[in-house]
Amino acid sequence: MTRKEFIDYLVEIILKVMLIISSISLLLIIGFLFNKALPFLSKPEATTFFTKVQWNPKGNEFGILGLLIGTFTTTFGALLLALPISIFASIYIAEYASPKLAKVVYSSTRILSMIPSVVIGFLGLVIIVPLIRNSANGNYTGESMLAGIIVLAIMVTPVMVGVTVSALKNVPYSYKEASFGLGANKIQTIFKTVLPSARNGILAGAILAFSKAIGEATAMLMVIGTTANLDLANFSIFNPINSLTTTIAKSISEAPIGPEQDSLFAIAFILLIITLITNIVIHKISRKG
Amino acid sequence: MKNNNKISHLILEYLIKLSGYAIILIVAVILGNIFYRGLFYQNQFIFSLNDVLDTSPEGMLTALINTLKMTFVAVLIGFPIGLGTAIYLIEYKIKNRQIKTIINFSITTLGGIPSIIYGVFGLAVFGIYFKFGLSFITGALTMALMMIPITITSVKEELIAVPSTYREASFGLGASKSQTIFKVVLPSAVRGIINSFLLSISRILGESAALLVTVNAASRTLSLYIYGIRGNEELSLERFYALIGQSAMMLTILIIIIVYIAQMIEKKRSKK
Repeated sequence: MTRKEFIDYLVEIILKVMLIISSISLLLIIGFLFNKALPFLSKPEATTFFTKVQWNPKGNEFGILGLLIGTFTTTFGALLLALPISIFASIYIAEYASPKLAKVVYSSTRILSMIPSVVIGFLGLVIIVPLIRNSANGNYTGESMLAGIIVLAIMVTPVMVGVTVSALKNVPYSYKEASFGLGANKIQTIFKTVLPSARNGILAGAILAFSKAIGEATAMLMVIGTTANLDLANFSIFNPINSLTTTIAKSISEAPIGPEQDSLFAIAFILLIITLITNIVIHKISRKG
Repeated sequence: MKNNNKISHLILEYLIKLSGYAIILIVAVILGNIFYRGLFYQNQFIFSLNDVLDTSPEGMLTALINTLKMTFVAVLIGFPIGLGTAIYLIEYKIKNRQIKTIINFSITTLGGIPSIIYGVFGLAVFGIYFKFGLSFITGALTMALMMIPITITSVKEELIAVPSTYREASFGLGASKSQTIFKVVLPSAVRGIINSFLLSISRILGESAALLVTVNAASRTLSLYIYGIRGNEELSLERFYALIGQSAMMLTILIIIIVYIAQMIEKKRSKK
């Protein structure tokens, strides 16, 4: 083997090793988490995991229903809030704004995405929480589901806008030309031709936003109050709440080894499964587009 | 009928423009608050170098230094792996189609995993299995892992941007594969790769969730410092606002600086 060939061979092997490391990481994560979650999930307590509302590991209560409700209400609430604004703002960027203004709006979302979640959480804590505390009728601390919803909505907007603007710009001009040619005005063209055509991209964006919102931990820890137990009798968006991520983040590093720690790993595994399913869905949708 | 249509259209157009302006307003308010609260509390100037340059174990500067140290180690380990993987994916052919799909899916999904899960994994593997416990190295290795998918995605794009004619010319001149990669492709993509490098750094500077569960108090990074202020019950209201305001502002400034440098490099490239 010549020297050149030997170096080529060496380089290819080194790069291949790096590829292998990257490729099996996902499997390792799934495997390790599953392994850590198994001791808990295979116990009889596990059957009440999904049906009980109370999460009180020290008191031997392991229901994550309250946490699931917390996670999904904040996530869907955030999407409900962020989607319309993001889509409309994206239409503004792609169809209405002058190039300068479009750049300003778009760059604003880029800047927003750079701000770390602790800082957003901090602002949520010092602005939004007091706002809720003072505006809501009743004895509320302000740390609430609503605060979580607002904070998450802010955090997913950049992703949503980025993907939607991309999808809108990818709609062939000929579609719009045809629509105008048929006598439609701008709004009709946008809502009846462009948006439907960009539907897949927008959907992918929404699911990406969902995925980001579901996994957010730090900002949520700072604004939703993290009381473990959901009071279903007094359900209100002004009430504090707990989510899957906050429960894990708060307790896992200090949890004593045993059922308590195992149950937290089980929660993490559930969250991982949700994330994987979401990613598969995104993958399938992007294929269709 | 025609009038109805016109009104609803006008309303929609109005809402569209409003949304655009709302975004600018919201981001301006956010940035404004970060800087205002870093400098003032209730109209009093609170920014203090004493607080910012505090090198005590619980101080802000210690946290900042930890952030820089941890980022350095994470990048040292994670970036080369990501870079190497991206190079292999773009420059070499993977013959088996199914394996190629699985690999790509694997890496893309890896990028979509929430950071808290990375933290839990890091805790399980580095903390518990390798017995490093809650420590600097557990956190750093976890962040190194996080860097991998981020790096791969952005470097891939930079490598794809290198015209294939460059590679063809290089082979045509008799260069070997590795010579082509290291003397033609990479130098051509180097500005973009540095850009990716800086942007991925900017993302892990602000990382908190993964470190929350893998790091001990001594190795606390700036983002954990900010988070920790909230749990500190000994602070008076003034001190709380002063410390959290300043630290949040400093972290944001740090990230902005890195992103700005990355953009400057990007701009220079397009001027070529």
